[in-house]
Amino acid sequence: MFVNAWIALGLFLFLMVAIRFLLDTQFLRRILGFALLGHALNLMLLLSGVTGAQRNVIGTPAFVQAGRFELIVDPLPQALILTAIVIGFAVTAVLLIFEIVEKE
Amino acid sequence: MNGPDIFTPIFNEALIFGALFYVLVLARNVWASIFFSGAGLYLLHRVGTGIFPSSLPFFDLVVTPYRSTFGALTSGLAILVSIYAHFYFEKKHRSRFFRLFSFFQWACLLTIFSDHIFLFFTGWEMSAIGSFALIGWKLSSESAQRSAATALSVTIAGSLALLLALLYLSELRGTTSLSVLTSPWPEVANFPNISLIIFALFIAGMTKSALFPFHFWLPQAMVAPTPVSAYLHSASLVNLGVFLFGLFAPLLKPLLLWHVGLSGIGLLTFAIGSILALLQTDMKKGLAYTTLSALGLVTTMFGLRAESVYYAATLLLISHALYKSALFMSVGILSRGMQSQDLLHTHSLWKLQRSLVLLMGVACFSMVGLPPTLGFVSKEMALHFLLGPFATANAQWFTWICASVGMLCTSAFAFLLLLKPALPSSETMPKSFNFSKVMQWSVWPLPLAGFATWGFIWSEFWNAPLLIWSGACFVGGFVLSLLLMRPKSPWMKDRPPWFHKISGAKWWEELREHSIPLLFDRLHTLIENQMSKAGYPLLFIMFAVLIFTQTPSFHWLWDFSTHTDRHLFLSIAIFTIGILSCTLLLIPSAKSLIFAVSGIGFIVSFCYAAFGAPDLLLTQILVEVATLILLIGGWFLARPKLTAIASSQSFHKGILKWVISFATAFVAVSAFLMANADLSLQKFSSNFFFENAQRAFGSNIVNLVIVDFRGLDTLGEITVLALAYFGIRGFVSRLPKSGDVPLSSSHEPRSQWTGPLFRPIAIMLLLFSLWLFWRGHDLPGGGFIGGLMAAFVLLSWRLVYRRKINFTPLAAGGLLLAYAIALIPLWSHRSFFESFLTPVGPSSLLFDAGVFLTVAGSISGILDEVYSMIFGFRKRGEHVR
Repeated sequence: MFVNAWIALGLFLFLMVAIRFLLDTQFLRRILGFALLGHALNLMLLLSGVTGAQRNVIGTPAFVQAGRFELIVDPLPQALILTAIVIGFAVTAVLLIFEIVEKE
Repeated sequence: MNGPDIFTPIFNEALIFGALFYVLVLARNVWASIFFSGAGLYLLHRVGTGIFPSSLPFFDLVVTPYRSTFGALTSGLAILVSIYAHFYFEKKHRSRFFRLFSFFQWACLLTIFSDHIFLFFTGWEMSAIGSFALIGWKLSSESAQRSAATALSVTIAGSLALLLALLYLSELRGTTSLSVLTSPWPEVANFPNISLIIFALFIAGMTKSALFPFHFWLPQAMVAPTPVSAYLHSASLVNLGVFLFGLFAPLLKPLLLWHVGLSGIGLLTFAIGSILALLQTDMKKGLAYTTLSALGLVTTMFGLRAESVYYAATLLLISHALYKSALFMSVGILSRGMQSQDLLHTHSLWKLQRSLVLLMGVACFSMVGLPPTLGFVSKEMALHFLLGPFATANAQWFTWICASVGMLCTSAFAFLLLLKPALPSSETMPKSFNFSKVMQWSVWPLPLAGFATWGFIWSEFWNAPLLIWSGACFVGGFVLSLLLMRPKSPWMKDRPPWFHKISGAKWWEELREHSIPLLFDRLHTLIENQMSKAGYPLLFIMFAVLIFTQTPSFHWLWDFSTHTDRHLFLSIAIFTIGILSCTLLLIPSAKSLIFAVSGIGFIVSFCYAAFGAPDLLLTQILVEVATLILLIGGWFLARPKLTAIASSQSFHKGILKWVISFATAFVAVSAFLMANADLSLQKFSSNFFFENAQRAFGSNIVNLVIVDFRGLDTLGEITVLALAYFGIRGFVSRLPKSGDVPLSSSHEPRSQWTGPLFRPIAIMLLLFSLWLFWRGHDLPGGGFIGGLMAAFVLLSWRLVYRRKINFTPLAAGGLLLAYAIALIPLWSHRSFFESFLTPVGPSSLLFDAGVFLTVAGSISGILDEVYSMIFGFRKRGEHVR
């Protein structure tokens, strides 16, 4: 199995802190919590793409030159994450502006 | 079990959640405790009579006669102790007590019945934590907290040795199953480091069972309430160390080190414990010392080589658990009635409360080993084995001395404990004796159970050798106790100085205070602050998590066998991220917090690199920079609000929020793990994309997915991005204007060097971003990455030249271009978003150009709005305080 105890524990701590930050009363912590949550979920999505005997292809980028589809890491989660990163930034910005403007 | 095993997973989950539900919800009163302990006993009985299978395929539990003896003691005494505790505690304390008590009981049962080494270790640690909470019951008492911390630190230090031994042995034998691990093994003597394993096991068992020289925590732990002492220190916690010895005895018995070491430790503890007990006047502490003396005798049994020592050892343990918990509970009643725990201040009980004296009499007789009691048989059998064939003739005198001293002093202590409170004294008699009759009735079943055990051992009784020698010891003990009780005996005065030296824990205190202070201090404060006050829910959740991850369906979690380098890097990196994110909780300053979160983002991007996702690496790094710029800008704008971050005391107090975060993260990661556990899944998606990459004229499949295969998703995403920008713009423009002062009268940079230098660099960077965009179809890059790069160039252009750039047309134009590419095929009666050739290239290239423009316009626009606000405020002279 690709995901081992270290990864699971790391993701767990990461998620826990992110959610705790999201629940905080401090608005900076809320925003940072959102960013952290994005990171954690992106990593989980990426690791979900590793299935079966695929653990040995980790590190091979998804290019046609690799020759066979069994030899590359799954490109679909990567494409989803790529857009999610940019959207995450936009949403963080909106949250920040709302928080700043709200009390003006 | 025969047939298809469809109930196993259901039963597994039901067992876990049943245990959780019990500890969290039901375990609030005496009825629940009685019911569940009784159910446990019944289950053991069923297994013992062969109705249930003894080795359970689920949950890695195994029931053997040896284990079920301990299990029955733990469950059976729990019933009586919980009845006693119900009357001992006031109503408001009962709920807390029963929860902790049940938690501890479950941890002990887990240790006793687990077959997986990690499960065993989990139970071992959980019982240590549970005993910590119970010993430190009085939260306001300094000495209680100190004793609890001492007990915990000693047992946890020992548990590290246990972990070492377990891991080493399991590596050696290639299994994690305890029953396989401890089965006899002919090659055991040939293994070079087997002494290390034996020493580690000694340390683990000695710390848990409080054997000499780790005995000091047990008498200190007597600050706990009486029910706790009666249960933890007679039947459950201290038995675990002996249990460990008995578990490993079949494997290690052939080795001389095990044989001599264990017998030596046991005999020494037997003698020293009883001497120290005799020198005590505090009744509970004296009982604690006799406990370690009795455990020493049991330990000696496991060091002997004869086959039937198990019988003697378990019999000793049963009789000890029965008489010792009875004595603890009687002493609790006695000291409550007499208002004193000191043996010197108790007297005249015979006139006040005869039934209590009778009760104590039976228990003390069992402790001495007088004929009608169970203690008699067990002690006789133990002595028979002790004085039987021993390894070397030289050790014979040692055995004789230790055994005689131990027997003599134990008998003397027992008679003292019985006679001193019962007999009248010259002091004035206490007027009233407050006690609860029901509490006493809850103790009576113990001696009755002891007599009932006779039914099982009747045949053995006639075969027992019955040494007269032990009788001599009891007469000697009786005489000694009478001598000590003389009004002018030195026993009534001060203790000898060497007594404090042996019974104290100076060396441990020194070790804890000076040699390794940091670790223990941290541990101490962590546990004291977090657990004693509000951490009980966390305690239970931790328990659940540990059990949950130890079930067979999660065994692959511990499989570290086939690492590749990347895999190792990813594991370490993600684990580090988890640890680093925890350190975020300690950062008080807002600006440091922003930088720290940004640092975590960069580590995430390294993870992407190790995973083999260069596009993600580029995007993540660029977006991380953008986020850093944005948040620093935001921090600048809202600084008055944010400076208060350090003083937010509520952050560490919100236990409910912690529980919510914990539970949510736990559920999320569990779901993630379950989804990943199915190894049969194949990646159909990458096959499809790979096969059709030729038709899209590209080789970077990630980019092909974004712009060709799943262009509709991307269209939606750039729409969201643009809308975010327009929303922010609209929101900011509705703010009261800050005086409409132009940002700068001249459109020139402040420094005369910046202008000429920046312009060529900016143009080069812009070209670079275009190149990133252009090559995206075949190499890492594309519209998103190129667009982000361009956004930084545009933003810095804006900041350096202070020239107002309108980013809206850029973003809107890009969005329009993307929509046009999607809609144009409809014109010629083809499907929406169908690919077509244009004079500059395939339509997907133009679509990617739309993405490029939208991302560039939106990202730089968003950052521009934030920084315009900053500079606008500055211009007006309203510098934020």
